[in-house]
Amino acid sequence: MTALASTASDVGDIAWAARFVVVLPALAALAGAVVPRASRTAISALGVGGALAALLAALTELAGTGGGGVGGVALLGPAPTGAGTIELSLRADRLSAVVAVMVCVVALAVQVYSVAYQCDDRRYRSFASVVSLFTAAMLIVVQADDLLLLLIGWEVMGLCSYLLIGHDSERSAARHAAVKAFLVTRTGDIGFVLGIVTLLAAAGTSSISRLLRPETLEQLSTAQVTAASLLLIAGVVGKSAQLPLQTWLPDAMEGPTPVSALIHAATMVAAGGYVMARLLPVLAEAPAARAVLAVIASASMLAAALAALAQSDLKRVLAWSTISQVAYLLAGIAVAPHSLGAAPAVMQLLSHAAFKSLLFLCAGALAYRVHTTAMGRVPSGGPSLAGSWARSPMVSVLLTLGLAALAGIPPLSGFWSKEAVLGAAEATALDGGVDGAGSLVWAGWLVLLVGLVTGFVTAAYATRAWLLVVPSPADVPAERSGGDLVTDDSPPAALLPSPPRRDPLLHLPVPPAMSWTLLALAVPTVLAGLLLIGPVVPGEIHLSSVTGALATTLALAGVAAAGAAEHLAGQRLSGRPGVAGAAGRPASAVRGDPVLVLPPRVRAWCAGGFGFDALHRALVVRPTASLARTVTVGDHDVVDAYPRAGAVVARWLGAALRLTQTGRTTGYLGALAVGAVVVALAGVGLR
Amino acid sequence: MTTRDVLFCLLGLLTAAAAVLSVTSRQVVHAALWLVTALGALAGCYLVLGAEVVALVQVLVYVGAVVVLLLFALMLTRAPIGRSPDVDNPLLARVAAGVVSLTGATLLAVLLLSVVGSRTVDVGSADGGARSAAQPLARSLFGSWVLPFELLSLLLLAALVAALVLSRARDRDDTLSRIASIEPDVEHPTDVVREPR
Amino acid sequence: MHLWPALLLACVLVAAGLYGVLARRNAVLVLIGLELLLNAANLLLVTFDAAYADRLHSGQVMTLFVVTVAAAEVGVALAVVLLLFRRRGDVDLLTARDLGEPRDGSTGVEVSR
Repeated sequence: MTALASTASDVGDIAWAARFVVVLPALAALAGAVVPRASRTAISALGVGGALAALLAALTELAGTGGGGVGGVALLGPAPTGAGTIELSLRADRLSAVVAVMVCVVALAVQVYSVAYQCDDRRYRSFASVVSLFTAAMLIVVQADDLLLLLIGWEVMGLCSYLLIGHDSERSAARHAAVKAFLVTRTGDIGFVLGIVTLLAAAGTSSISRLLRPETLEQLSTAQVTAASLLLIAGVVGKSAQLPLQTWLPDAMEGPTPVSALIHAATMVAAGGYVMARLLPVLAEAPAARAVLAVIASASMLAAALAALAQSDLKRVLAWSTISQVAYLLAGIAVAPHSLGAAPAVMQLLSHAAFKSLLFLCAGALAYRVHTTAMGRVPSGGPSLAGSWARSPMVSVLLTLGLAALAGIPPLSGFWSKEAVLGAAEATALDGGVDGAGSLVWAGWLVLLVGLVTGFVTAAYATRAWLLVVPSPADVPAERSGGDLVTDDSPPAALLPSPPRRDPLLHLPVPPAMSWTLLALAVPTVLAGLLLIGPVVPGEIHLSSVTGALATTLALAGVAAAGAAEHLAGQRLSGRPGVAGAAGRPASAVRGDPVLVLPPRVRAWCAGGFGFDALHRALVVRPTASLARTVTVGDHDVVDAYPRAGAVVARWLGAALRLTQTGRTTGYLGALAVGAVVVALAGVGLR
Repeated sequence: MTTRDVLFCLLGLLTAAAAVLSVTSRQVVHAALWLVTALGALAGCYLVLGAEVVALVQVLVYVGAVVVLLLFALMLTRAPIGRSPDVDNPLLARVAAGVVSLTGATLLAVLLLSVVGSRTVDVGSADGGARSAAQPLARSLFGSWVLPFELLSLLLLAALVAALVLSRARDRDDTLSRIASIEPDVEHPTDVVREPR
Repeated sequence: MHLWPALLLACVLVAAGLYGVLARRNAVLVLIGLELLLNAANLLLVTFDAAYADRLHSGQVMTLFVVTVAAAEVGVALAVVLLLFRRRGDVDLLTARDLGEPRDGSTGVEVSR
């Protein structure tokens, strides 16, 4: 991985490309501070231009790293510290180039999309600048050759995520979601920082290139490597929203949809997996850590898929689905055999970025007209996304494409990437473990089986989402009056509490900025399977026909199950007494929500995220709040008591002195007499 | 023990007894009268010590004026006739007072007796007792001590004016009254100091 | 003659006077005690004058001065006692607590805040 490029000029070109990739979005972000707020064209140009320039630089880098890579590209020069010199350097090799291209593509797509989507945003300037800043931070993480530079990019990403989730700061839900995201990811970041410090202390160097050399790795003891790996995994669990720190991602959907597409689909949540892929040689020395990662990933995979099944909001479905798909990515890291390296995980990263960002942006395009992302039938009778085919057919087709990729239908990209991960798991399970010596065989089996079951559930919830969004709903009268679904192009009876972005002119087509972006993202969604052919992704992919056939069968079974469940739910609804089939519609036309076939308590438990919020509240929030209260009480009653005691003591002394002022002449005379005797005695005695 | 000694001891005993009785008697007027006795006997002591002029002044001023003033005060403040229990402080205060006074007196006695207790005085031997006669005393008084003497006369004047002002009956339009206006309120004694008008 | 009887007598007068000042409730009786104290001082002055017989007659002269001051003091003191009587109706020092501080800290005087 550290082979030098062939000629010196190539090295120079790649080095400069690597620098530009990082610096240009950062400059765009800074320039956003001086651009006047009113000129939207200037802001858009800056945002789109920054992303475009970074993409061009990344493509140059990709072209240049065909043979090998360059490490140690100086970014800002060495930083002298007390313990030594830290070289804040970048690394331009195949892995970082491929992922950088992906990040730049998605960032560009989001910036172009935002030109239309954020057209009535009063704070568009800060939005575009923070998105550029986030892009720069993610690219620093991707390109970093130094652990501390990695950490800097990691933390700035967290900050930008907080700023962007809470962009609509007038809404308290957005503010709370931003704080929750920040705090939960920060909790994971504690482990991340400690992991980096452990690596730093153990290896004596902060340079990743030097760390990954075999001789350096031999020096580290298994205990050190395992400790560092486990701590890094803690950070990854936080940023990638895996169990048990997954509570922030569904709530982060309060942010604008382009933000969800960029941060919570393609880049930040996958950054942890990327870091793991980058540090795979270190991780390879710690099978215990890999086992833990495999277990966490498997649990998250299945649990998130089940939760996605019961959600009533399209963006929340996509959020839980992100958790599940990123779990595939991390499972790929955990159980990939040594021969394959990080290739399965990177493949999943790239294809997930493509189809998930497509899905989010399609959801945004559909919600753009209806001002809500609720699916199916809304109990209060408000508007929902249902019936999107009639409103915007093109976006509905692209949404279908994205959902099919998510479900893993061949030959779309989702199928190939899932196969890469399951193939790696099968290789580990059957061929003797990650290192050929039998360790983690059980982990391979675990990932394989859980991955297959999750594939079934994934297809089911993807189909459910499709059924509740795309087809026109039949009229299903509610038990109470006023519960009609919104159909066709009629304006909504009442707008939901979410702030209307503009006046409800629903008959306008989707703006070209949005539609062209969607089309552009549809290309990799369909064609990303071709990446497997060329030497684009570093490492090897192992595909197994048995696993592939099994996965496809399960996916199709999931689709069928969802359809059957919908029919069943519809029958139940139409069979109820009091439902007047409006104008005598046949019972088969009645549509229901497929998830209603599940018992209500299971449904509620899945929809509520398995009670993790309550768990976090009990384990972390309440103790912290009571500790804060204790400290406040301690400060008020213990520390402040001393200054207050001054006043109290003064009053007591005054009261004590007042006791002598009796007003009785006899008393005063007595005091005088005694005093005189004492003074006389003193005078006589001391002489 | 000369004659003077015996005489002095007798007069001293009388003084002491009268003094003690005057401070312990429950009858107010008796106390004043015992004071007369004590002061008179003290004048006798002065005579024995050879200070004739002082003895005369003692009788004139103390017995003649001060005690009379005290008796007038007793009369004007409606002192109770006969035994009255309200004349003394409570028992505890009295015991404390006794302790304090005995301690003070004892200490003083110890001091004096240890320093000059053994001296003897030859009264009126060398100059035939003419030292304490009127003329030499007057020469001293109006010679060396004239300035304190004049100051004392000023003091007496001040005391006279003060006593007049304080005891004047309240008269609404009177200037002096306004300067030192304090309401006499016999019927409604209050515990709060009222602001002067 | 010996000095010690005179000194002893002075101490007895001091004891009696101190007791009278501290143990008496009636203001006039307190003044009686005060007079005894002054007379004890006078006795000591005269005694030492007889003992040391200085040219200036300091002891006797100062005795005269003390007598004068005592007379002035008794005059003013009795005027105050009469005022007390007029105000309160009695001269009981135990209950005349006007100048004392109330226990609860209030000064008894209205203060505008």
